[in-house]
Amino acid sequence: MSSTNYIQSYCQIKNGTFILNGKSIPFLKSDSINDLLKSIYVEQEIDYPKFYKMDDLCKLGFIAAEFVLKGFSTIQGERTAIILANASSTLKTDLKHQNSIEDNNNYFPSPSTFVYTLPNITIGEIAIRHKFKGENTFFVSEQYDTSFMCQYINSILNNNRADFVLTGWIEVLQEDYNCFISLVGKEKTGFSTLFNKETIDILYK
Amino acid sequence: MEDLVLDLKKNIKSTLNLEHIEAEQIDTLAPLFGNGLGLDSIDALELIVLLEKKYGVKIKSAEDGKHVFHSVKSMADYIIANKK
Amino acid sequence: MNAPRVLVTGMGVVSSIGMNAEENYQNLLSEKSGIGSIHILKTQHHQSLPAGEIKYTNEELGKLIGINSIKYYSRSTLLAFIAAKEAIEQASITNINEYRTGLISANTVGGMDKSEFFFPPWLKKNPHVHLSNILTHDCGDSTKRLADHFGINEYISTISTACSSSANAILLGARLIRNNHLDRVIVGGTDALTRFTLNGFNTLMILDTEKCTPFDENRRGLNLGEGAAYLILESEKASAGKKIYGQISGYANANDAFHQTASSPDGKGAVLAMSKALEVAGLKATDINYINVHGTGTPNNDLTEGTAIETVFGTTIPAYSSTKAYTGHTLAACGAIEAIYSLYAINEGVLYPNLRFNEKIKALKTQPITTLFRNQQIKNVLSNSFGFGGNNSSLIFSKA
Repeated sequence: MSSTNYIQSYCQIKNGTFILNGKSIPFLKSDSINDLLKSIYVEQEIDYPKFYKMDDLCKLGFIAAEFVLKGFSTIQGERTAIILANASSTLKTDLKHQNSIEDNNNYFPSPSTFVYTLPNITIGEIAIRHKFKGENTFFVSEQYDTSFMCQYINSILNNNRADFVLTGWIEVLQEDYNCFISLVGKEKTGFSTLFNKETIDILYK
Repeated sequence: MEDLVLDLKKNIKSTLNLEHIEAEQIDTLAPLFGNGLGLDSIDALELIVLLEKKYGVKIKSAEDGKHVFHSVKSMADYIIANKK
Repeated sequence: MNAPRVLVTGMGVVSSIGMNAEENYQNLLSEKSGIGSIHILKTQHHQSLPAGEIKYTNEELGKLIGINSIKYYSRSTLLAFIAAKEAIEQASITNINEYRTGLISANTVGGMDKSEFFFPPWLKKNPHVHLSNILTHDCGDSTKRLADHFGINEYISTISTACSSSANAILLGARLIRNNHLDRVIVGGTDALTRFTLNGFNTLMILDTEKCTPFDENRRGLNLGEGAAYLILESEKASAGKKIYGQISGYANANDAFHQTASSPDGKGAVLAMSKALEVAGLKATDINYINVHGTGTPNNDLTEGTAIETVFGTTIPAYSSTKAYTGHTLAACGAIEAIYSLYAINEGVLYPNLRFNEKIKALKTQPITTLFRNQQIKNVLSNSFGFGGNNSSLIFSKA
């Protein structure tokens, strides 16, 4: 069974640029990714205080998902999958945790920091916020494997394992960030662009 | 006691990343868990670490924590009673 | 059911109860747990926190697989090599590229065992510390080294989803074969014991200071463990003429969408994962003969998982037990390790006891089995692996 699927919404947030469905979104530039993401949160008047507890990786994924999912509040949670990937896993937070267990004389590891040393917590935070209960996985690879991800996500949709897939790449390394997230579905609506390798390679250069 | 309560509120705000409210807005007597501040099990663990790190007071288990962390007042009382 | 079969032709496992699959199995039969004080890892908690540690230093692990210079091998990688080698040999693979072959390996700690000892002296600008110690840090490093060593280049991937990681690797591998993208795939995972995870879990206050008692009313928490396990999955074509150890008949993954580390009271994510796995397998709940539960021994997981099992299985709950009472919680590796234990259960007709059990969880209607059963007719086994982040995976293994 071979069906075509469509990118219904996407966004890219990458070192100084923010694009949502082809349009550039203005935002307050900052050297600190944390400050940048918090300023977007405040400006968008998102009412979700748990946002402040997240590490930078989760904050980035959360904000991207908020934008991508605007207008899609009726999609069924149990039929929505989340498939993400990155290169550095949770390295920034790993260092924070490592620092807190180094000194036996000042030994106060933080439980909440440790929680964020798993990349799939990013999925968890998005899932909790939007009540997405479909299948979910997190890959770690040097670069986004466009062919594989397209094949995998099309397979999930074509085999009716989900009606929507929230997918993409969320990478944070110190203050560098690169995130592209898209909502892929079976209907040609919203951004209405074919979900395939060629499109992804163009959109997410 | 007043100073301790305010100091505690400031530490709770920063430890638990409660950036959406001011320290002074945390009600001294209201339950910390449940509806109020929306704190969860991880926050409870962070409060255990906070008590030890900033006030030198140890809690043995999350169970003991239930009484100590009922409110800012109960935390302050516990610190005063147990600080060496 | 007409879906192409996904057949298991090789298995390899290393854990605190054995350095190969057969040794693991024998210790499961003799009810011998591998949990105890920590000797190899240098940690302040070595006596206070029991763990399922493999009592070999990295140098000794290297020697087992003929690697003399372990400079670029983290402990996770060494464990992975031992298990992968066993699986590949068992599957009689002589020419890895005879068929379209992939590798999907999972881990959470990567090369952390080396990085965490490199870090402090390096910060103090110790001239004797070498940057080569962190070349192995990334999660993908052990996967790449395995792929390079065994000559796999068709498809290579690393999954990192906490405790469900290697179950998800098996799930993905099975899918790739069923959908004819690959003929053969080596799937599994590895995680070594590290100060990073020991201290991290300790600060979450979910570790037991004694040997864990999964599914017991008075359970106190989990013991960490370490290990690696790989399975060779093959299509009908690639497995022709080989001994078949079973098939991956069902698989599913769902998100609990409740909390970063705690599972929901009704275990919705677990219910979805188990139900969908049955659907994929084309089986009814009554077709399952044994459940190898995730059963970490934490107050939260065991209650949620038990509740979810009662929801899915109703009044016909099969025998179930947690083998984490033997091995500890091996994090990313547990899905694959327990997959192999499940396949042994099918092939040998054995059901493993849930060690150190005393009292049924009051809120549940059932309890795990506590004695070893032999000569059982076991056709279908369900295995659960539930990770932080609400990542819930269930796999079903069946007689081929």
